[in-house]
Amino acid sequence: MNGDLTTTASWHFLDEVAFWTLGISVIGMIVAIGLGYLTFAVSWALVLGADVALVHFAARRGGRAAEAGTIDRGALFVFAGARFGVKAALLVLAAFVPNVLNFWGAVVGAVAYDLGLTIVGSALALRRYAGNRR
Amino acid sequence: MAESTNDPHAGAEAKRGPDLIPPEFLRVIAVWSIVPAYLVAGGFVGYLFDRWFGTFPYLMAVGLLVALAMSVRDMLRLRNEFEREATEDER
Repeated sequence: MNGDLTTTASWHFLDEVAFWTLGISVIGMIVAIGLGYLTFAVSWALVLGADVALVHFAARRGGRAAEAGTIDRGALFVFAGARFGVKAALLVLAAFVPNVLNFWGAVVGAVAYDLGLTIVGSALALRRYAGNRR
Repeated sequence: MAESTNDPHAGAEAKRGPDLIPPEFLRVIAVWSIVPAYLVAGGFVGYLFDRWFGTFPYLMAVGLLVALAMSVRDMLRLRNEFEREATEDER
């Protein structure tokens, strides 16, 4: 994956990172709940869940379009624009209504996928690169 | 590294010599490291302003969102730059 969102492999890769991030986050959420930070974990889950759902939606649409040899601008918009709108709305909600969402939980949820793309994505890319060179 | 003549990077690698760390991997790291770097910077600056004005957590939230948006924009720019370089290397 070289960041080119016109191929099915790239969309599949972004989707794969989303599910890895979700899996790792679930472990973190369980630990947070175990430590008694229930609102923090729920806020994290809500914001990350919305983000991952949008990535998955964009990946499915973008992947289908790439298979057909076209570019789905809607999928690109969801991946690079709408996701941030949703995160913004949830962060603002957490900032203004702290009784509903925990601010730090929302922050972790908002940055989790994008950090996951760096850490998990790099590990997956290296593994794939090593596999291709063999 | 350049064992086969079918390797599209063979010409470029022969010019530069073998790399300790594959340049393709370094490019991926460079593009993706933008996100955490911007997020830390945006969040920290927002947090400092919040402490200064006593507005926590509003400005931190704004800083994080601006950082997210800028990181996407700059990731796309850097990716285009690397693609242009790779195309020039292949020629």
